[in-house]
Amino acid sequence: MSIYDKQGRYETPEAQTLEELQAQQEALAHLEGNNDPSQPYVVNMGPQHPSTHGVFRARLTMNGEKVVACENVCGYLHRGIEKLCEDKTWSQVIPYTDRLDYLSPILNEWGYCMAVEELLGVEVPERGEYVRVILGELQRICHHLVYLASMALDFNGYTAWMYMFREREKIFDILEAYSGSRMNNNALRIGGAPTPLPEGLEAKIIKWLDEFPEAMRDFENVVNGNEIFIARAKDVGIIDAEMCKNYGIYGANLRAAGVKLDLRKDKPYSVYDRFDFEVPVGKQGDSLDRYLVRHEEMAESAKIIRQALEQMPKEGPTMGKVPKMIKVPAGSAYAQIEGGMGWLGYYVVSDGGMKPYRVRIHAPSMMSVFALPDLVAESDMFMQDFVAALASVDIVLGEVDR
Amino acid sequence: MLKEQILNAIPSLSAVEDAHVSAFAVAREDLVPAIMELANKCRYDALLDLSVVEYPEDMVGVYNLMNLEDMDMIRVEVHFPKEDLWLPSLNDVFKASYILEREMYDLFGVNYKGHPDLRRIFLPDDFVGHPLRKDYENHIRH
Amino acid sequence: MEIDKVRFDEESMPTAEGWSPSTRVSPVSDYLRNTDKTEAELNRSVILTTVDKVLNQGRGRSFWPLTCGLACCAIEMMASGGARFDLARFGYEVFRPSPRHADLLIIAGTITKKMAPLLKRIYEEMPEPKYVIAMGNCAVSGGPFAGSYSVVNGGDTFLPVDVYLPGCPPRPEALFDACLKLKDRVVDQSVVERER
Repeated sequence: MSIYDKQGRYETPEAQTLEELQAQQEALAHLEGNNDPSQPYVVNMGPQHPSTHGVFRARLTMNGEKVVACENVCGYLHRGIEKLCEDKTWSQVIPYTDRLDYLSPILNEWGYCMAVEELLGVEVPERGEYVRVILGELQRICHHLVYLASMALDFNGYTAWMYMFREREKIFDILEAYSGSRMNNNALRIGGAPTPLPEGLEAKIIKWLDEFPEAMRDFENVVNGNEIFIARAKDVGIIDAEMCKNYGIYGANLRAAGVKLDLRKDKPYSVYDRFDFEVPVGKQGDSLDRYLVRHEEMAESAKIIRQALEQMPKEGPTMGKVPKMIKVPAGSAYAQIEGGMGWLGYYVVSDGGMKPYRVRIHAPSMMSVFALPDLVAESDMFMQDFVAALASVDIVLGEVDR
Repeated sequence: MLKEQILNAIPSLSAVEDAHVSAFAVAREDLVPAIMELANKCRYDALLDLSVVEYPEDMVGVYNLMNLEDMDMIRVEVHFPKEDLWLPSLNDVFKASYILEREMYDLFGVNYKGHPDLRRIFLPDDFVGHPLRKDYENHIRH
Repeated sequence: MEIDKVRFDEESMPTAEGWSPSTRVSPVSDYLRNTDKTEAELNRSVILTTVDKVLNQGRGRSFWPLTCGLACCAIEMMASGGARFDLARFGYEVFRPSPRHADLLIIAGTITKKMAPLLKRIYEEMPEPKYVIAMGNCAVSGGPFAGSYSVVNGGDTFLPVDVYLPGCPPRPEALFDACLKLKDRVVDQSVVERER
């Protein structure tokens, strides 16, 4: 007989016979002599939570303050983008890819456009590539700013959040001047970029670039040396290189673990082989390393933008020769780019028509987030360490759930 | 490694015509040994992506692998019939396939034999149907 | 702002003999009305109104939104609380994570079929009086994802929405406009709107 009644409440009915009494004693025996009075319980770090960076649910089994096990429940933002893409023409898919990693939409568009251009056999002219690089790196800085701000906010660093979002507004001005929209800008096209940078935008970008190092110093002053931040982020949530490779985690998380692997340097796509920039690498793969790697990457992106502005040809087309109604020959192609969170991949299948036959999106943040259950099982984590680890692996639910 | 070298090293692979990347086809039963040999012998040990595509005649499981030393990418395809929807699970080879296979089960209904915990990941548990199949229609008002 | 004023009518004034508890005016004002200067002073510096109207003014100017950002619109909601577009100057900056403390549910993002029952539960957990703003095309009608197999076509299929805010995503200034429209609605709760 159970000590729990049908609703799961702890209730012991009166024992009527000696057998029942003995059965009750046996059922309660596991609590006797147990010096640790705590029992594991399940807590929902539910979909609506200020620290889950979106609608993500983590079912945590906790023993007191320690997190013993973690189960991820995703899908609260599953919008069926892959199926919706099959109903739209090739160009109409680009706004859907915007809304995957909604912190850096242009990088997502770039990956999709690269896959379709490979199938079409279209070459993007040089000026178009430079425009893509400038916009893409600006969006990478936007993405990293939100990442740093959210992580600082999870540790209650509200000032840092304010500073970083203020910086982000300046970049939005630039992007709005080019594409017309602050976020989810439908800025790239299959075949290149629709227009060159408008008049005066270059000067605006250079002015922003001149002010950016001071803003980064502000962030460093508030966060990087902060005792509380370091205490909560150092040696917490260590995902080493072996674990990264096993779980298919590439990008900044792998670089934080000490492996110098960056698609822009090792397998350069577009015009990335013409720029001189460094790849910051962490030491052990804890949360502090993941934070610092992305912090440094912002400075490197600023370097790339400056060089791209200098090297960009002043004349020439920005779009390749692409018909108005795009019909892609049959075949399939996989294109990957170094996104803000990892290696964003698009596997595009065409049957020769006006609409994609299949668009498969490989989301790097899904791989990162599903390393968390094993991370929790292996290491000794308190609740606050779990929050730090979740914040530092950089998930964006639009991409995890598609 | 060149396509011919891989074909020589692993006999169960057969070549597939592709203008962009080296592509191979393999039978369903030889999938796991072939992938393990690709990972160990030919150093294609990074699983980039695992997906399923539904064609009119059959379904194809697509595995994109990468060699991180040469930064070279290949694609391995497995054709299997729609009436017999199962594939062997790669969970023992790549831990990354744990979630990717759950996603493919959720959206296509492909049963991965050997997967420890095959259940829906994105859709609610009481959802009926596998949405990314071609016979499942979205109700979009045009 | 409408101000109710109790008129000092001759007919409703109590006399020493005929005063009964049912009259609205107290004996104090009976004494005060005898001086014109006091009446002018009272008219100038005392507002007489109902408690409800004062509370409406207070509530409309201090919504406590719930942090219920689902997708991309949540980022614009966060940006509206940031330094450039400052939601605090309207009084709406106290974002509460728990629905028990909040009174404004801003549905910012796509509502999926998996999330809809949870959103309804969150709405039910909020104490009265509560309001709902559907922010973004997805919350208004399903947006670019309308018709997908896993998307609910708008928040108003299962929640009572007070203000619809289209945009993909709407600018922070648009979110302020929506909040201020809601403030007008809370302050003046008439069913038929006057011309402004």
